[in-house]
Amino acid sequence: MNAFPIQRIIVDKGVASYGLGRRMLTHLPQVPVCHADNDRDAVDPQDGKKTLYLQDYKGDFLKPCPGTREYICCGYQILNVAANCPLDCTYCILQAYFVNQPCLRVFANLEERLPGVMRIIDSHPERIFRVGTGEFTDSLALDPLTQWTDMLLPEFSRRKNAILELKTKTNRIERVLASEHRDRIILSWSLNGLRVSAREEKGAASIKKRIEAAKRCQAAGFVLGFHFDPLIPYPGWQDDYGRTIELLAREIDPRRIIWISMGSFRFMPDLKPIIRRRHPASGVLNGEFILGLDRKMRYFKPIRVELYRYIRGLLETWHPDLGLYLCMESDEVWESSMGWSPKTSAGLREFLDQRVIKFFHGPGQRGQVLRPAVKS
Amino acid sequence: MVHINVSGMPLQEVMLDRIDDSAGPFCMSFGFDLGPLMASINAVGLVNPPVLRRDQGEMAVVAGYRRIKALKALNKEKIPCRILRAEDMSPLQCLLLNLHDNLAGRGLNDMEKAMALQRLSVWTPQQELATRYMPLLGLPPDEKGLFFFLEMELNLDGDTKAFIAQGRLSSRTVRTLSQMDKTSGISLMKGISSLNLNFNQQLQFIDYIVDLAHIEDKTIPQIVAESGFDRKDQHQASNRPQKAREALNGLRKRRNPSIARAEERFRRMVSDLNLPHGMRIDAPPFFEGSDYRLEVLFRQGEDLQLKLERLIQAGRLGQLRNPWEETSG
Repeated sequence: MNAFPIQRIIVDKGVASYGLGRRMLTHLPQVPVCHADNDRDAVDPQDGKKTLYLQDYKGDFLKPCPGTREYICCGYQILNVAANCPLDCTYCILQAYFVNQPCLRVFANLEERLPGVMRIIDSHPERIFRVGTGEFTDSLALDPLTQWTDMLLPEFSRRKNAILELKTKTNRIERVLASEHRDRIILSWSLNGLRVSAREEKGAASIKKRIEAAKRCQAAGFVLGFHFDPLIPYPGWQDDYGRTIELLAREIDPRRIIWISMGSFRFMPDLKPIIRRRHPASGVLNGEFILGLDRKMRYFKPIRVELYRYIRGLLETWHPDLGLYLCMESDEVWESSMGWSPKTSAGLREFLDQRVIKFFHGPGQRGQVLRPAVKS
Repeated sequence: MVHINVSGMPLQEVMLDRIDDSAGPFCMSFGFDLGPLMASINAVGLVNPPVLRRDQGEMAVVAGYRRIKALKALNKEKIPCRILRAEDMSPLQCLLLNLHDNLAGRGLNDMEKAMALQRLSVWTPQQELATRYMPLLGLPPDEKGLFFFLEMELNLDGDTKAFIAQGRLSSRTVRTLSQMDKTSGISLMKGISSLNLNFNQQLQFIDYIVDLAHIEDKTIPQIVAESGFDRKDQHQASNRPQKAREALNGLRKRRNPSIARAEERFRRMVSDLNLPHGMRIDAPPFFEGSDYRLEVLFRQGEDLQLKLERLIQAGRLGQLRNPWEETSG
């Protein structure tokens, strides 16, 4: 049965010779397949999420998160396994990033290129690589098809200088739970206010189901992360976010949470007309936005500070050591809302690297093998 | 229906007062200036005779509507014309003859495109209008856009039509409005015309109104109407630029009340500093950055020294906090 709304598959030449490409074609036997040299010529933008493009990806599989120079960034590394997402969140920035490549692109040669990625990681044993697959797609939404976790978990689990974070809004955890690997694997869920989740995160699991999935993973021995991003204020947002945190507190052991990030909604100006056109009933554009220093639209600073301060208060009441951090914010906003600041991107990297050391190394090993990866 | 070679038809003298010069079923001329055409006719005479269609004694203009207007304005009595019989050409063929005659000689303004589409819509299915005739008129082949253009012709008042015909609506505005539901698009267009907004202001206006409609859960026509933007009598021609700025500023404050309050608080704070004449302190854009900007106008070094001394003596300077904190009360 095709559990995914894929109505068409486009394949690059030679994709069937790759393990992942072959497996996906086997899993979707009833879906028509066509060959294309260029998906842009072949895909109707309106049907993007119904078209799966198995791509022989020529670019770099491991890239630093683009971040921004104007705000404090965390120094994350992105493992490019796919581009675009089967979920359809109204606020998703990928709508603007991949406006000319609207189909679901899965990089069919991942398995063949993975040794190269791991060589890069191995060649810098002094650094900690915080790697995630959830920046340009959902890490688990396609996992039943792609079996990414089968490929990636063993590789990262045996490295001493890397962690792999799988970030999702789904509860597709079957393959993760079936895996025997736990070390250096972080399962993270994006969370939001209940109303945002219901109205703006089409195709995603409900907050309750996400937290239930997180609970099962924690019970199975995984370290968890959570991301309150994008935070969106609206009348009654405090109660809504409060209810999400209540659910979280009821089900999750906070001592096994490596970090929780907060980020407010921000977007390239080009995204606004796309949201208006694709999601006319969405409320995500209702806030008071300004043009940020990075040329992205973001909430007026006092609004951001209020959001962070409030949610930080709730989270710290639950547990004082959750590894709270802000995504792409200024020193001033850090100080005003969190009561401290890492001052620079290097400072934030160090903070998060120390969280990795704390969760994945015994006290005797701390600092012996690893030191935070501060880029010169 | 046989194909008629119109240019090969014999010329016939027709009394001008027998020709109906109202904008008839084949007309696609709007917002034109007769002056140059009258000057041309005065100088070299009528080079290209109009084409008329006689149907049950009535004489309708097929091509040459502006020439006939010009000739009447010049008080001519009779002119040479080519006259089609009703059975020679269908109304659609007449319409197409005029359309191609116009497209060959000049570009149509947006109101004239609306007129052409509206007249063609009587004889042509919507899909064909969109796919065949909109590209011919330089418009994207889009049914939503088609409805908008049809609505323009049917529901806009003369002033708004004139505003559009004068090319004072940017192509980006037209494209944006044509993607909306037709009632909203027409309502915004009336507001833009009434406020006489320039190209940049038009997009800003649309953006604010669309945002406010979402935020306040109202329709776009409601927001436009309750703000009085669709009423001509609100804006005298002499102070229209000022009215436009005021209108946009009002919308901006309504759209972004926290930012507007912060700006006002900052303005009051700077005013309380009693800065020397010729000095000003600006906040970073949207209070996002960390740095204030001090501007000093001075004539000579002595003047600068004096102003800086007075600035240092301004008591509250040392209490200035981060820009955004100053706005938080």
